[in-house]
Amino acid sequence: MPEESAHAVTLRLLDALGQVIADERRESLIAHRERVERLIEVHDDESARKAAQELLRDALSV
Amino acid sequence: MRFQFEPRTTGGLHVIAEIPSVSPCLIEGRNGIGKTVAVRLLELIAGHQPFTERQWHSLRGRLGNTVVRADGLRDGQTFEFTFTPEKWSTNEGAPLGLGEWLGRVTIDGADATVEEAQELLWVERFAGNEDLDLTLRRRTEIYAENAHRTSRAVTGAVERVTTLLGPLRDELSPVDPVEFTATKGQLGGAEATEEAAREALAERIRKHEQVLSAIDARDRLRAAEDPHDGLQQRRHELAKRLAEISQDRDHLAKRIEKTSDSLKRQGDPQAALGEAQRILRYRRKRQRNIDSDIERLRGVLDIDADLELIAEEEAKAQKALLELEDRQRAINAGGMTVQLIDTVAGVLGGPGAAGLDEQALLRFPERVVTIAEARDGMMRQREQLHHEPKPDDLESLTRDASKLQRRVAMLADLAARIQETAKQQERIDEAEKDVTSAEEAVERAGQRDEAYRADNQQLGALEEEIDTVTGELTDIHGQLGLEGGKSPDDARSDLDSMLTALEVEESSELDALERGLRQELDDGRVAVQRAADHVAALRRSVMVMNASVDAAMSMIESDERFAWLHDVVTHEANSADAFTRLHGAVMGILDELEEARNLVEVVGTLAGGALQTQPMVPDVQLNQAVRAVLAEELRQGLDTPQIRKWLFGGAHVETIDLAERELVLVRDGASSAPRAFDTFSTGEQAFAFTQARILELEPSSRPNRLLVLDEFGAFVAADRMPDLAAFLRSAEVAPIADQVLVILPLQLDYEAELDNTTGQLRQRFEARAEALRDHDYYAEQLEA
Repeated sequence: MPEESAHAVTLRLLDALGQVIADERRESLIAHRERVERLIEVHDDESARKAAQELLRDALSV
Repeated sequence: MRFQFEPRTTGGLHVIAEIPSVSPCLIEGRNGIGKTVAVRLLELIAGHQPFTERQWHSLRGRLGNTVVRADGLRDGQTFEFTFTPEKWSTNEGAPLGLGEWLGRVTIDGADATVEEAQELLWVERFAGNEDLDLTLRRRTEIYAENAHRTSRAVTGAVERVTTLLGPLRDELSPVDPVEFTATKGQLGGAEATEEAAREALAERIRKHEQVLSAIDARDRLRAAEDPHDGLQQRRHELAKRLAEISQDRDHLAKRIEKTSDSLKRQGDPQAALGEAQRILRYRRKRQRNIDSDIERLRGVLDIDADLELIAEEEAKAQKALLELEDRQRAINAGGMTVQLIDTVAGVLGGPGAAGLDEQALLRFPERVVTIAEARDGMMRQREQLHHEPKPDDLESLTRDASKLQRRVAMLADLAARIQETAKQQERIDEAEKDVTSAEEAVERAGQRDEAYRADNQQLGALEEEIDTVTGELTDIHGQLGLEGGKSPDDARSDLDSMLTALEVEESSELDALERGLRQELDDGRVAVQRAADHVAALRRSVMVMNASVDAAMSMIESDERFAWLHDVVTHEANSADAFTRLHGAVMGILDELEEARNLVEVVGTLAGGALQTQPMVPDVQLNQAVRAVLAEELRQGLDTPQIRKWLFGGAHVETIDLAERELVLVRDGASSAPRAFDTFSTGEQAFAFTQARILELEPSSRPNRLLVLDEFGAFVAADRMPDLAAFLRSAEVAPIADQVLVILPLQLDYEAELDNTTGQLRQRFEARAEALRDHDYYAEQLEA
């Protein structure tokens, strides 16, 4: 099995789950997967602030 | 490659002293002496973190500044690695990556970085006791461990983001937008209810007034019809006389009209006389009508027919009306003031004014008024205004104003009638002159008709008598109490109209109707008051919420804590809309972050329990999805050329069922029956499986590659060591590893076996026994 980072494996697992999960949960699962990907980039206050800004901007633009 | 270990460990943690530069090398020793620990430390130096969270915490507490020295590396390089667990974080679990905090490094005697050390070394460790079943279990555990690592990272990230969004949520929390919208909706409904209650009350008041008027008319009529009153006799005489002379007058008028037509046909003088007389009669009739109106209005208004007096009375009535209207405006202003107080006091009592009670709000030359004083004063004034005016006062004012308006109108009408009567008299004088002239013309023409002339004189006399009788009757009706001097018949007719409008058949029913309406009025006033109180309470709630919303938005726009938001949240004129959108966004984000965190955690749990028969969490649908995904991942991991060749006899892996721990193979398009994992777990198959996995390894580009086969006791016991040694020396393994190390637990008591051995074997056992006495392990070339 090729070496992968833990997060890459988890994201791949979530991607695959999005393919097999029931239709009514797919959209929600894909959205959560995007959030997880965004959150694993957060490692300090500055990146947390950036993530919070992006999340708010997205939520307010809906 | 040779690796030497200088342990600085505590707490019973041991590390063997050396891995010699021998390949393939066999290390056999007692349990607990640190064979595997030595390999794990080399994995750390190579950049791979193999420990579970519990193991990592244990290692950090006991490793100390253990030193690892390597020599005999490619190109003669050496390095020395000193672990520095004192720099390892105590707040996190097993780290996802390794950094410079791991230790101090020198390469060829010069200071270097941990990263540079990693680039020198590649270490891959295989556990030889792993059969298919264990491998699949270990791999699901790896998925679970990865998910848990991601879960920890996500949890930390959610905490950081929540640290930013939490204060924002706290500022937005005092008002729930759903409740805010609902309360505003309730206020609109309550205002409509209050308006409807007021309209219903006004309608009852109007009807009550109509009933009271009808009762008044009925009572006057009854009094007027009282047979004991002496006026009644005179009224009947006059009415009888009026009927007689009215009849005479009608007859006479018809005869005159007829004669007049005949005279017209006789020639111009007669025609002119007939026309002049007709005009005179018309103008006199008109004058009588005006006089009748004046008399009626004078009676109603109780005033002499004097223009000056009327003008004075009209001025007085106008002034009184203005005063009433001022009073009504004052009452309305009181209601508006209550609303204003609700607004301002709501703000002064809201969260925006919290802690500011003693601050000056108003400053006058003599004194200042604090926020608390202003708020208390407003509430007292509100309480005062709340009880004013009384509903009765308001209704009374309305009624009085209505009466005054009617009186002013009637006074103006009376003045107009009096002015008109003088003009009308002038017109009558002109008409009389015309008649006289016409009579003279007829005289001159010798056409005088004495009978016609006598009829006209008699008609004039009758009409004068009618006027006199009518005037006297009006006076009597006035004295009898009939409004405006109406006749009883007219008064009766008016009363009947009122009863019809009120849908009452008999005037005797009016009293009960009035009592019922009075009760309805009381109920209506209570309903209006209750509705008004409800409206006031809701209005205060909305005002307080509005104030809270304004305060929150103001705080968010100005507070330094929220400076990071200013690029995202732009100022909006309607702060309530902005608040609602921001509230929804923040609460939604926090919920979604928590759900995302939960999802990763649950997926990790499900991955770890994928081989369990029963789901680990109640979400069966997600559990099945995770199993399906892992089964496919593992199928792809097993369906490789080496594993197919060594373990499955060339067959492909078609499907894996984790819950049942079975797999289905397919060969030449034909699927096998499901086979349990443990049917691939003989020692021979486990060995084959290990060989396959080693051969699958991608050759590393790092210069010094160490392959370690740990826990290989099963092969030795099965006398497969020669096969293993042959495999490890083979040309297939050579590109993968520069040095191979096989670790075994102690297989024999070599000391005890010495008496049973001879020759080379005895010599080998003696060497091993000696090494074991000195180091608890021995290391030597693995012989085929």
